[in-house]
Amino acid sequence: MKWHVVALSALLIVACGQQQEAIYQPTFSQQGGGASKEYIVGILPLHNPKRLVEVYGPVIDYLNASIPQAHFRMEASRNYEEFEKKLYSEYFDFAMPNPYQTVRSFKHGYRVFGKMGDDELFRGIILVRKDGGIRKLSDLKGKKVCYPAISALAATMMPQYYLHTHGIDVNRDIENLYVGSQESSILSVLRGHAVAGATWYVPWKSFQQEHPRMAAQLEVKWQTETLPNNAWVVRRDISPALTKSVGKALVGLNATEEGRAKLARLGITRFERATDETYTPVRQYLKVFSETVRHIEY
Amino acid sequence: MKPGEYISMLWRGSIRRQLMLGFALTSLALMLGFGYLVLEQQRKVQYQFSNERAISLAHALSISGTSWALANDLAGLQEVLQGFARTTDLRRAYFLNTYGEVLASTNPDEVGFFVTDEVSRNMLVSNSSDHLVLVNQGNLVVIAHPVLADGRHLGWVRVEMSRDKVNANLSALTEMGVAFLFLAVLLVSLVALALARRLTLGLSHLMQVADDVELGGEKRRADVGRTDEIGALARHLDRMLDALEQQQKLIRESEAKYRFLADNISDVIWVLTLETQRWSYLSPSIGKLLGYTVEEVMAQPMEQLLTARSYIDIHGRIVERSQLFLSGADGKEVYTDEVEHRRSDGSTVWCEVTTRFARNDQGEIILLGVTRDITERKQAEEQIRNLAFYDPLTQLPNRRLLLDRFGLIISTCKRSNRYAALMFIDLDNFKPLNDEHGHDVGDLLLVEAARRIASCVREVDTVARFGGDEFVVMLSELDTDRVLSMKQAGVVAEKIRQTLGEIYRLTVLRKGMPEPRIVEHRCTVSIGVAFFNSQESSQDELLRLADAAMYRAKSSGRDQVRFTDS
Repeated sequence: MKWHVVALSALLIVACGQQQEAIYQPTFSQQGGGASKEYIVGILPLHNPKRLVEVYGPVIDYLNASIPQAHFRMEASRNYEEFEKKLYSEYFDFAMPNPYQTVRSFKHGYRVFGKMGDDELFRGIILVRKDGGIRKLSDLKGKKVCYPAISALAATMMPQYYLHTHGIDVNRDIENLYVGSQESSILSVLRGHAVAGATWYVPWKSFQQEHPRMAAQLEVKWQTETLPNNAWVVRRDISPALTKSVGKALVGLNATEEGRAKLARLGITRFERATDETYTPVRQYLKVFSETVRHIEY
Repeated sequence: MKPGEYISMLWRGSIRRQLMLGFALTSLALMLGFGYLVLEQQRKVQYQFSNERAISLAHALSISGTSWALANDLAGLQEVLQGFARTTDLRRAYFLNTYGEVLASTNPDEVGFFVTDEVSRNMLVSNSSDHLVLVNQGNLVVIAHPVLADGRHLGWVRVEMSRDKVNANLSALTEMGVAFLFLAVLLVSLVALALARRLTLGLSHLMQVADDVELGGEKRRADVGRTDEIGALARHLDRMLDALEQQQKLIRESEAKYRFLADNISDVIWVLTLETQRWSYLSPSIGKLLGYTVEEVMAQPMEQLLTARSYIDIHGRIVERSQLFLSGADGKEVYTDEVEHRRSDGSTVWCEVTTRFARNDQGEIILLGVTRDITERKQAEEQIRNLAFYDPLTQLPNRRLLLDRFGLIISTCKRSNRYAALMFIDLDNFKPLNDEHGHDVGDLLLVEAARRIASCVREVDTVARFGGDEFVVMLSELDTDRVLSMKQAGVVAEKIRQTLGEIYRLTVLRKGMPEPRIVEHRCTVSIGVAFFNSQESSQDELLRLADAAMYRAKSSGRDQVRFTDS
């Protein structure tokens, strides 16, 4: 008889043997641990945030490595509006705005301490599909032309100014589409959502590298004059010594093979020193643009 | 009764219960085991599935939130979370920066707070680039997924999901399983009960038949009309009952035969249990033999039924033989003894008892015996003995017995060194009585003379009729001194001479005469005495010497005692 009892008990014990455990509950407090001062580096949304990190992340890493006493954190922005909102609310400690935003940032406590080199690249280009049937500028009339964002300088304002000065009234002759990003602008032409798409050289080069077959369906039909490239600005309350170190590090980036490789991902060969005055031509350009094409703040 | 014993009784008491309990327990064990395995497997799979769901959700949130996190866009992150807020079982999902600050959460009150518990702190320092299962409890799984951009740690997505749905499913499954288990056990028990009933019904019937047969219903038979094992058993039982009935018939016939024999022979057949000395069987003829009823004898031990001497004698033999039997050396020997039984009226009866040892069913030693009344044989033997050794007229030892005892006395004398005396007595004038009144009267005188001689000597002394009118007296155990012994013997001889010399009044019964005739006669004796002890001569020599002394007494004028010369 004994073994029956043992076997049955064993089964019952196994069947009932689930014990209760304390339910986990996370705890929250208002004070976090270990958050140290970091400098927020805002990069204008030249690409979508992920791509932006891929491209600019190594530069920020380089800054962190070169200047151990400070910590830099790169912050992307969803779009130009968000970026500008942050910039003009003096959220960024350091920022790389486009020349238009640079000029506007002067009013919000920023000053220029450097810029991207290769100014000849800072020009807008107008892409069309090779089979799109667009031969001359007048072919665009009555059609849709797309741009990344209304406040983009090289990719929007400069192409619009080019069109405007070459016989197209951008406010009446064509329909302007602001599609959010450089890639969107390129893709919109490719897909035929617009007959022409404005962008600038750096994103176009990247697109060619990444999607050669798609890029082959497009051609650069027109290109604008150049302006000083995107600037490095710093909020005026940041210590000049730190700013100087950052500027020095950025300029010295092309001194090494590794640095040049990082720059190459950005589509440029160097960073250079600059001051607020460097962007005086931009201010003048914007003035003309505002007076001739459409009203903008500058 | 202890519970263990109660269970044991329940278990052993009946095949029906054993079958039912056995089936029920086995099916219960099987179902429990199977159910447990299935549930456990289900639990594992479903928990794993819910874990994977939480991981997938965390992964999706992390991918969707990366851009927003890069842009530090809290509203964007909040929007991303909002899209998943209605996910089943989701308790909480939130984005954390690398410092543990809640950037966005399905529970908006927590935004801006920092996670501080140990699990979260460990997560923050882990720097893992893959998801972490922070908590995996019965009703909670917490997954942390890093938000990465180009390998850079931007923060964490935390997904906390309950397993309410899974557990509810498992509960439902368990309930279903339990219900099914009870139904199955019930069903199996019922089937077992039905089977057991069918099985034991047949057995009960067989038992009933066995009981009936035991109570005398010999003609009762078991056939249950079944073709299974029970049916076979019933047929076997029937055959056995037939055989038993046949045997019983034979036994009864045989018993009647033997009963008739035992009841009607004069020999007593008996069985005695040795240890208790009590009878276990006695044939009725014991009543005739001893005057007791069988019951009365049964109530008495063997000792009461034997004379003391026979009991001592036979008891010793029985002890000896039983030891032989026990040792196995008796070889089923049949013993024959003569014993003297006491009868109810106080008289005794000699019997020949034939016995053999055996063991009964209980393994006790028993004695099987046949007792036969041998009174007549004994009497015949006694008669033959008397004829051989005694004088039929005087009942005194004859010459043969005398010589026999003479030898014994000589041996005694050699041992004790005492003297003994041998007297030769001859009636002096016997012949004239014979001649005058006939032999019958002569015989009467001889009988009277023998009585008178016997009255003059001790018990131990021997008086014998030596022939005609000659008697011999042997006095044994006299003194060691010859002179003293002669004196003692002389006294006895003188007494005999005087006693025999007295007048004889002989009562003669005559045919056809109502009154007996009295014959008076005077008759003296001449006595010759010889002495002997160990140094003396042979029997013949001594007889010759005593005879010579007697003749000397006769020649010296009769009615005298003469001693041998030496």
